[in-house]
Amino acid sequence: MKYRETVVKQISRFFYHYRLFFLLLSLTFSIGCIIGLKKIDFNGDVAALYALESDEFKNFVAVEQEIRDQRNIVFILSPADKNIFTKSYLQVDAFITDELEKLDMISSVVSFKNFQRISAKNDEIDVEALYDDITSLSENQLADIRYYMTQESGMAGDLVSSTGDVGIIVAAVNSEEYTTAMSISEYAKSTDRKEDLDKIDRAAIAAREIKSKVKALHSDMEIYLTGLSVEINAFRELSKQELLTFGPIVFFLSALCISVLFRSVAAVLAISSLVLLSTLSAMGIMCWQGLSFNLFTIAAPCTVVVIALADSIHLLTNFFQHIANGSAKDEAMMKAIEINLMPIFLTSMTTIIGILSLNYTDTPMIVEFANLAAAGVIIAFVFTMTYLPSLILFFDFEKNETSNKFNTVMMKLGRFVIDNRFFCLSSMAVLIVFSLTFLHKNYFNDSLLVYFDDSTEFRQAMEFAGENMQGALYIDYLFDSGEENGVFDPKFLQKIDEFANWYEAKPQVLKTSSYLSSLKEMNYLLHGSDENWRVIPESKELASQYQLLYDMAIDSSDLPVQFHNNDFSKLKLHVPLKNISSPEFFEIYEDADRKLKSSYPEIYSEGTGISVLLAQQGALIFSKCLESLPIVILLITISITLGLRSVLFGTLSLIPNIFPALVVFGLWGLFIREINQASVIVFIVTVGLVVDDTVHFLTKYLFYRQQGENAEEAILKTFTAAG
Amino acid sequence: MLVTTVVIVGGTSALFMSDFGVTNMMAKMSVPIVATALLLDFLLLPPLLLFLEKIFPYHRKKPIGLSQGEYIAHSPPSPSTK
Repeated sequence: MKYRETVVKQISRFFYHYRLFFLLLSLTFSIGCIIGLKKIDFNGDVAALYALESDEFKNFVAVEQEIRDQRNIVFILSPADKNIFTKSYLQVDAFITDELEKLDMISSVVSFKNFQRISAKNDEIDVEALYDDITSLSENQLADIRYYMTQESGMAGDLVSSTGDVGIIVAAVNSEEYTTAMSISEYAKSTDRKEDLDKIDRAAIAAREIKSKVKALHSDMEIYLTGLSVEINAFRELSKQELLTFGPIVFFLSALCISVLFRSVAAVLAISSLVLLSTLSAMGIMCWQGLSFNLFTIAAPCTVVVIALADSIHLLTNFFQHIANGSAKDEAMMKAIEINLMPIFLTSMTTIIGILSLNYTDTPMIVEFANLAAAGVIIAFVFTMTYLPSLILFFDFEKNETSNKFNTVMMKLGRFVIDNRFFCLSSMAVLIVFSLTFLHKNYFNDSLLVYFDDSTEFRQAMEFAGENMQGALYIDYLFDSGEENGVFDPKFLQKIDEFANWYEAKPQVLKTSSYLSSLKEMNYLLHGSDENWRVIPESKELASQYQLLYDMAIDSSDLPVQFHNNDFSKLKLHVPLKNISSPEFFEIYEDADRKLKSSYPEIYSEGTGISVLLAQQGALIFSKCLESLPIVILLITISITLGLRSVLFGTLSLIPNIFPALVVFGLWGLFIREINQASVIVFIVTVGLVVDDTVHFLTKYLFYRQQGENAEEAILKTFTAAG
Repeated sequence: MLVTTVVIVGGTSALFMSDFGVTNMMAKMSVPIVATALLLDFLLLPPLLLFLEKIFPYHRKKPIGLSQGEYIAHSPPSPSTK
């Protein structure tokens, strides 16, 4: 078969002859996609990070649906004088409470201002405000409040630190959809949920404004904002900021590099516009689908930029080489397309294989990332073969010496490698073996903290909270008594109390929260404030009466944190932890699981919560990626084998394809060690990406060998043609 | 390959400044991986090809998608061999 009759040639000619049509088609397609960007939205919902159908996620949702866990906003306040029992602090507390209560999306606020002081006399419960008027408070009254809050009320560790230097205000954001039972997918995609997220977002923004107002009046006071609402808002804001800030920076830096390396206005314009159109088109498609940008999908545009850059640079480098060799621009472009069509197609395919394998993780955010990036790779390939040639041929080019200089440098490098083949081979082998020995030192750390830089406000708030009061990490348990009003059974309560005490004995655990503390407080109060009676009531009837009295005194239905369900059959235990790494977290979690199974099998419940899900999700994604990796490598190798029509070279390509990522992961294990979901995803994506270089090198090497060059000459020519 | 790597590394290096874990990790991982890939393609692959040729001598076959005779006319001049 003659060359001119080959399929590739025909396709190349087709692209070339209809280039204007393709230019218009590409632009029309892009504009159509880009219009979708007007629907651009950002989603900070951490629940979308989890595999919807996993047992762990179902357990998490079950707990949320059973006991309404409001999306809280937590103000953590630390005055400069390390004393919150002052008039000044109480005024700040009152101001924040008033401001929060003005917001329609806030259902309740727990603060000193709203705190109900419960006392008992002769079996009668008396409820009064913590104070009447701040300005008239005497030093003795302030000392009394301090004693009550830190010693008597059981609030130490919840609303105030045990040393009285840090105070907390908790506001509950209205949320409704968790009260209705719905399927997992409905739960994640419901309109109510989106509206709820918007409400959460508005509440978090309002909280920041309140913080600014307080900060303006009390600049020496440390104020931190945490809570799930703030967390969701932080993810949303950061996603937006990252995409809108770093997208353009990456784009302009790349354009700068292109202008320096190509020294051609046409090249800069053509490549930059191609990269821009490919990326925006992929993003537009995503927006048309009604999807929002989230923690992972914001990384997809950068992936598309990288792929589009690689495709277009390969084509244009070759084009300029032909121009430097004296070809006319039309001839040079046609040959550049002919030479690069198959390698770029092959590399696009291998990249797509790598990226799409992430669908196997079943994690909505990661699947969306994979699909968006894969769409971008396809668009980048098509645009490189159609839009780029059409555009570049509008410009005129003269033969320049830049390419020849570059060829000379690459020729020298090629000669060096050939002459020092043993040195090169052995040094690379040493590098690979050395780095692989540290692979096992990597460990997973997937707490929420690692997703935020030390400098971010949210990270600082989480760290402060973890060190002082309520940690960012927590484990929730939902214990089922098996009967209505079963949570009043002293035996049932005793087991939970023992389990909570077992937890609190651990140095990594902060003060646990549950319904037990209010029951114990009532028992204590109704026994003449005798500390010996700060225990679980001795009978079910008594506990039930205490609950009734407590409910009469304080309407607990709107409190930000709920600890029992409506029919009092289930009870929640909230275990906050200090800021520890994922392995430590897992160790405690599994230890507690074993403890529950062995000591309290009749009330066994699996721990859950965002922190648990995140840690489990990291491990799950890691194992899923490990499972899919051999298939990805096999598919990539088969693609290269078919493309090169050589089993030998296809197999050989495994080495430069797999080892770059393994070497870097090995060195990562030596210097950094901590990895998370993001690093595993980058690993998979880059396995598909680095194939690019290998394919271009081997394709050109084989080409020269087929031309009759010996191995050394073929390598030298490959260095100049592909290098 | 060199030009592509320089542009990719140059462009994505901006992500090192990111405050966000996922984006930052992308830069920290992908930049060294892409650079290492180039290193291995330049320093490991050619010696491997040369050794492989000794064990499995190459037999000419019809190429897929690449021109016979035309491309070479526009390729760089043959290097002088030692």
